[in-house]
Amino acid sequence: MISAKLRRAVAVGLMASTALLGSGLAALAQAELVLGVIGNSKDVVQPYSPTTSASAESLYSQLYDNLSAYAPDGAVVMELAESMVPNETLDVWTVHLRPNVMRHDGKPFTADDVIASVKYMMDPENNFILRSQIDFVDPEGIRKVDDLTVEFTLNRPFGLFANAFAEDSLMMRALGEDGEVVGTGPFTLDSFTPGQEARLTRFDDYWGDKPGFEKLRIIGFRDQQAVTNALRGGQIDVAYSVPYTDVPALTADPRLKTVISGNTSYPMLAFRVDTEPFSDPRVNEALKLVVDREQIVNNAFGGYATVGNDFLGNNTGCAAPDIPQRTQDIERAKALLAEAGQSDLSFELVTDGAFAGMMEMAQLYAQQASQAGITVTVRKLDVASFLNRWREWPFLVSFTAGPYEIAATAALLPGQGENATHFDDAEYNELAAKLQVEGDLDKQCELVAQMQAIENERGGHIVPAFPSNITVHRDTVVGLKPDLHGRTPVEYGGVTLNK
Amino acid sequence: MTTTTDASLELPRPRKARATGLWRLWSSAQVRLGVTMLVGITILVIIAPFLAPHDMAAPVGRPYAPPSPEAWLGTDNLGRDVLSRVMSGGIYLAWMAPASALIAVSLGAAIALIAAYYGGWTDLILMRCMDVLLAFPGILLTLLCVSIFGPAPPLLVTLVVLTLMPGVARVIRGAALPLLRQEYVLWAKTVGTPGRVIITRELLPNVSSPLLVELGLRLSWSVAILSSMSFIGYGIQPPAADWGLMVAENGNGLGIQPYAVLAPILMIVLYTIGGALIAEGSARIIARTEGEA
Repeated sequence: MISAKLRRAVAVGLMASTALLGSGLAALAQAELVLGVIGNSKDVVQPYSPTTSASAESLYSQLYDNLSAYAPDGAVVMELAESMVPNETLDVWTVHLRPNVMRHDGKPFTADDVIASVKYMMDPENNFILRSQIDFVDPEGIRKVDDLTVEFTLNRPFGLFANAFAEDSLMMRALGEDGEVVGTGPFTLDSFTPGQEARLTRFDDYWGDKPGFEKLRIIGFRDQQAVTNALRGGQIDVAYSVPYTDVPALTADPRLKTVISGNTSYPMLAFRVDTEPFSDPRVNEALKLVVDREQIVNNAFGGYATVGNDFLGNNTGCAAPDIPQRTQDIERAKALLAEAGQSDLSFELVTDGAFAGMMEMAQLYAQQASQAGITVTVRKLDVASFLNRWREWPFLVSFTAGPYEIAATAALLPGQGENATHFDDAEYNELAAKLQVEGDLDKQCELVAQMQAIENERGGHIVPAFPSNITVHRDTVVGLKPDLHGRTPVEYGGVTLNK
Repeated sequence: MTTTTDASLELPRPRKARATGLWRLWSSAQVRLGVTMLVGITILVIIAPFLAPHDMAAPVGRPYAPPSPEAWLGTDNLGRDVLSRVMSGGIYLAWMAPASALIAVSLGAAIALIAAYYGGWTDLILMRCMDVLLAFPGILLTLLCVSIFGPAPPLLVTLVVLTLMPGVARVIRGAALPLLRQEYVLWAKTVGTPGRVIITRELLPNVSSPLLVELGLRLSWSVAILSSMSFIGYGIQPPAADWGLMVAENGNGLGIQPYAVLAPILMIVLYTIGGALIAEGSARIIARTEGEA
């Protein structure tokens, strides 16, 4: 016969075990992945804003989807759209939406949401940078055919319709009955403090590849060092980016893992070609000639990069233009500056250091330029202050993302919101217009090569290197995938947590 | 015929308390060591541009390279020579820390003596202002001001002064209050000596001893605060070489290239110890002198 004491002990033991097991299972079900990124206090929840940032992009990736998207290998794939079909003259596109896509408020995503999103992002009153990226769309020419079909009548023929809508910033949103912005992405938003923290819960009705964990927290940090320290200390599971030169030290920690992939996103130096003294072609060339690109590859990007040649567009699928690789030539730079009467050139190089390699590249450029008598003062601002005057800075560390046909035209055509260099070159503009309606891949490559050659000669971008994309994460995170568009740290389809 | 005589002229002037001279402080081995350390470091950072083996801003190898004949202390996160940067990295501290300490002690002492001498509302208002500054977290003030105005060295000095000044004022006011009851102060008041003269000629010399202790102490504090500002990214900005900044920049490489972190830390420690030795030595001398008196 079992004594009362023993029965009581067994009962207590069972209860305790059940409680522990229950809490363990609950913890597993509530497993939370924590992402660290440099925060921007001006971030907003809706996906369209006058400026963008790493923290905003991290959030938008979870809440919203595009009609089309770039796959991790760079190919254009359909997302909320099932197909995009043009007419013969490429000026009318019919978009068929994916059926059974649910919004976060439990309602189906329909053609009305697409029309409302596109019209809202194109409304001149909202002054969104992304508006210029789809300026081929006539807002009045968008027509609902049925709940899952939208017809776009364009204001000019445009062959890269799917590519354009694959741009990360062109996300679709909807308005709930309460007027709140809702998305269709893999997570729903629980709470949001701009620049500091966003808490999200997995959206179980998501149409796509679902994350293997329940909760996501995005923490905003002030700088790269803070993100890296948090990763090392276990405060975060994934770092949006880490300084390239820290990668060897970080990977010496057996608990940290890396995912390395090619990249279409990278920082570059940019100066206003419409402003003295940078508008002088001799100064333009001198500023490019002072760059020791190998040194920037090795010392700013830790060797995880290839040498650039002052044009955008690695990973285009096209061969690089047949132009000489620009190398450091201090004497030539000095001579050009003297000829231009700018031997004592001095300016401020502004950056927010929000992406890996920015601060390092800025510091090395300042040192290299000093060899030619140029005084460069590096000034680091917080993200919001920097982005508020994005198109005003005479000389800045800029950033580009996406394939050439989209990124270059957004950053180099007149009137485009991302054109920080204020580049406006008639020959380049004409080639860009041709590229937008060219369907033949070989001819596209010819046009891209010509455009890149113009950038190299007359553009306001100094592209010293094409860095790889390196994501460092804790070994408890499993399934992060290489991504040509730098989305490794924010794409969680199929990703699991072993905390 | 009546003769009026100024009675005060007939009063013998009381003997003042003996102020400790600088020569007396120098007799302390601690003070001598502290001064030697500070002066030595200051000379080092001043002549660093002529002695440093490399340009402190130019890469000389790959990032976080270990010590080699080319770079005795290895390289930092950008491949720059750690030794050259350590030698140059105190140039800001060398002037900002003493300037901050000197201004903080001067202003704090001035406020304290005025408050102590005039008393009443003057004392109340001045010391409550000091209390407000004392209660306001210095780090918050720094973050706020640097975010708005940028990390210009004069602003950083001002912030350190605002952080240190209230503490100095509290200490010096405490030291000055007993002096008001001393005969020579009462005598000066009786003969109608203006307040500013009493403050500068009677009170100030007699609080010089605690002032010197405060100066040494606040110098150490200045070094710590300025280095911390650089460490958290609100102080001296890259690519300048600064010890606090070097610690922040190279912290992630500690496991593979510790010299890039340890060398600047050592310099900060030496500079801080130098200030602390001066303060400690001065305090001992003053205590001994007061004991003798």
